[in-house]
Amino acid sequence: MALLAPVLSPYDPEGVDASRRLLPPSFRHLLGTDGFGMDIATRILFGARKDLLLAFASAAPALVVGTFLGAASGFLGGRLDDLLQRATEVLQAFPVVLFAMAVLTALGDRLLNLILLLAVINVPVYVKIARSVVLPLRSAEFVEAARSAGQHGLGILARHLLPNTMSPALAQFSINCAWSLQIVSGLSFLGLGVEIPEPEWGLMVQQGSHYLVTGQWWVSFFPGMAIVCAVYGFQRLSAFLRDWTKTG
Amino acid sequence: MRVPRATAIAALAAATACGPAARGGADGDSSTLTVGVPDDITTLDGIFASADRSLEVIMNCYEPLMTHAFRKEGTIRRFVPGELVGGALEDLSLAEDGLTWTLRVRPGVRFPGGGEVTAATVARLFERNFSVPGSGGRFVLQEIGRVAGIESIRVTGDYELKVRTEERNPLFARILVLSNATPFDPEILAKHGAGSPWAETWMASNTAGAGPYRLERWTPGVEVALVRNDSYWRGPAPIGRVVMKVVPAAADRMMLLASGALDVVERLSAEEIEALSQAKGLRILSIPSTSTVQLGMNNRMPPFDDVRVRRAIAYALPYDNLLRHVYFGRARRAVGPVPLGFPGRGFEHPPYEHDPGKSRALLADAGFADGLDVELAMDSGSPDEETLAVFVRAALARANIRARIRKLTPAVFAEERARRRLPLFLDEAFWWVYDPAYALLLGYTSEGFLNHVGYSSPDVDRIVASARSAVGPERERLLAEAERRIIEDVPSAWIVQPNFNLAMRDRIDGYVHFNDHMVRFFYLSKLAGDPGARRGMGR
Repeated sequence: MALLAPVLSPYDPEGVDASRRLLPPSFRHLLGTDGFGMDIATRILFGARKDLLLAFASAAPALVVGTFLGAASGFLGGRLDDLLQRATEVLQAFPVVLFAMAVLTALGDRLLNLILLLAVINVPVYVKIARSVVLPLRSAEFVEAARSAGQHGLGILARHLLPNTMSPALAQFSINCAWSLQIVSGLSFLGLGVEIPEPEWGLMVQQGSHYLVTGQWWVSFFPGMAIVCAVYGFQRLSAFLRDWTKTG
Repeated sequence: MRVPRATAIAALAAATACGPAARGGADGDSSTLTVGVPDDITTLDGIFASADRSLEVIMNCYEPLMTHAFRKEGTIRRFVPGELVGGALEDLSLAEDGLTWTLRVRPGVRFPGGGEVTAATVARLFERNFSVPGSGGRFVLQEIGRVAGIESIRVTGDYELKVRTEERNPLFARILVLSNATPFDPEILAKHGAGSPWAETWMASNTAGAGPYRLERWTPGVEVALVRNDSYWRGPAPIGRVVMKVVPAAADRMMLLASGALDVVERLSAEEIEALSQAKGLRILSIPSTSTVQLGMNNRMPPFDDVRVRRAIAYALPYDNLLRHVYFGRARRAVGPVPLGFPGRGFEHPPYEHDPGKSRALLADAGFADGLDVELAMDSGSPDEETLAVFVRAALARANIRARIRKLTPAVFAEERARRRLPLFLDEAFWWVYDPAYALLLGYTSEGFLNHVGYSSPDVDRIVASARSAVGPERERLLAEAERRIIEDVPSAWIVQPNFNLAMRDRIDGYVHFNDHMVRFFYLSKLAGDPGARRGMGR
């Protein structure tokens, strides 16, 4: 639906029209309009593009980098392992939202900064998962056999160990997407990350929250429901991937 | 499907009334006034204060040397532009030389501790302004008042002192209403100075004035409590205690007011005021003000260093629509650098009208036929500006000016603006001194302290410098000429003058509106019984 947003909706997601301000849900505007006269359904559809893209764009680099680092850490051990573990623990010790607010305030709340920040925050979880998978496997028979066959460390890591990390890492990936989506929405709600009047669910909830007091519940309710549905969807996807990779 | 606004407010108010805040019951206690404010005090030292809440507490706990006269207009009492009356001073007069001012102190103005304000106290006040390092009061006295230093002030009697300005300067009288012109109790300062004769640290978080109230308690981030000064020279205030509760979210302030947990709520947006205007039991005041919302354009930064681009922006704005849809009619169209309502503003210039075609033509002439990409900065702490920014962005887009909105926190916005780093920004200008010369001097001369757009015109500098010391029709002619030139150069696009809005329970009476928008609690009272029957009994 996000991909088909321009086809599905006749409205401009950033089209200001004062004559259409705060219209309740109707056949003309299925989910009503907001304080700028923008069609909420249209903005939710276009917002899905931004939110899902942000979620994927921040979780995907973390998946690749974190899984590789975690597997290398578990396989090689020694000082590299110690160093990586301490680094991830330090990163995880920061309260995420406060850390994100501080970084975005310092570097500027641009979209690219937000993606990079979320990617960095997401890395430790993959490091931990991959390491926990690889650690018991490094002295497994198939690894010893590979060593006997003359394969070097990187080859063993890439061909024999990393594939074993895929199942839990992919299951974590969709959970991570949901989590990133919540963080993006939360930061937008606080006024960081996405600029007005871009369609973004968290920002829409924030802008609509002013109207709850005066009875225009639809302005924040529907974007809020979009976040709930997306997060639930990611969690179902995670369960599916976990089962699929196990049986596969 | 839609819940009516008044019903929604009533329902939320009922829910809020069950909470702990309401059990304290602002509405039922006639000796305490509970006020909802969006922010906290930053300092209570009048020579440094610039934040609204700091100034509001200072104006209630100190007695200024001069104040504005007020009279009833319609249903409210408001200040009379340009007409000053004595506060701690009984009288102020200018000698024939045009330079020497005689300040006669009002006998009987007492501090809560019993000490009296005398000529020596006022001289001490000026001395503190000049002596404390980094004092904003020194800037005001020297640069605006044209008082060279403490050597220009001479005590000539118990209740009389003379102040000499460097040149003829009508602005001197007008700056005596400001927070730095509020006498303090020298005995208290001597007691709390801790090695410094001026007790800067103590004064930042305490009060030592002769105003109608004194500070009882300040819990940072939570509330400020003021208690009545029973020895106030005008007589004790009707309300014994004022509690200013810090409630940052406007929606929360609205609910608490509707539930009766707050008596008065400050700083609501026009949209919020519009919503509250339908609720029962409330009184909404929406008073024309002289603050001006403008689109600042950095005159030293391309492309806004080209007057054609600045004019294109000015013609791109749909002024009437903004007034109607962002401010719900609770504003006036701004027409220039000197706000409507300023005394001596006799000049009328045809304002820039909405004309996207003309805007595009000017842009093409300036070499931007394909349009322009700009960044529009705004202060995230201003209640109406987010809505305004979105409407302005849409209007600029119709003139082929593509704007990206950049929301900055209040602190970052203030710093970037002061350093003239913002190319295009929404801003609200408010002039503490009610005089066209003050506005032009600070906002539009090359060295102006508040000239955030970097506007520079040698002609305007020269004319304003001449106007400062001129009097009568000559002064007005010079100021009008300076304003005409500034409007032609359009360093900022002046959009609207939004009303000052205040919401209160309908049993609160006696409000007097002053030009600085600070509520003087001394004039307020709480009515018992039917509010409608007893209204008008305020002081």
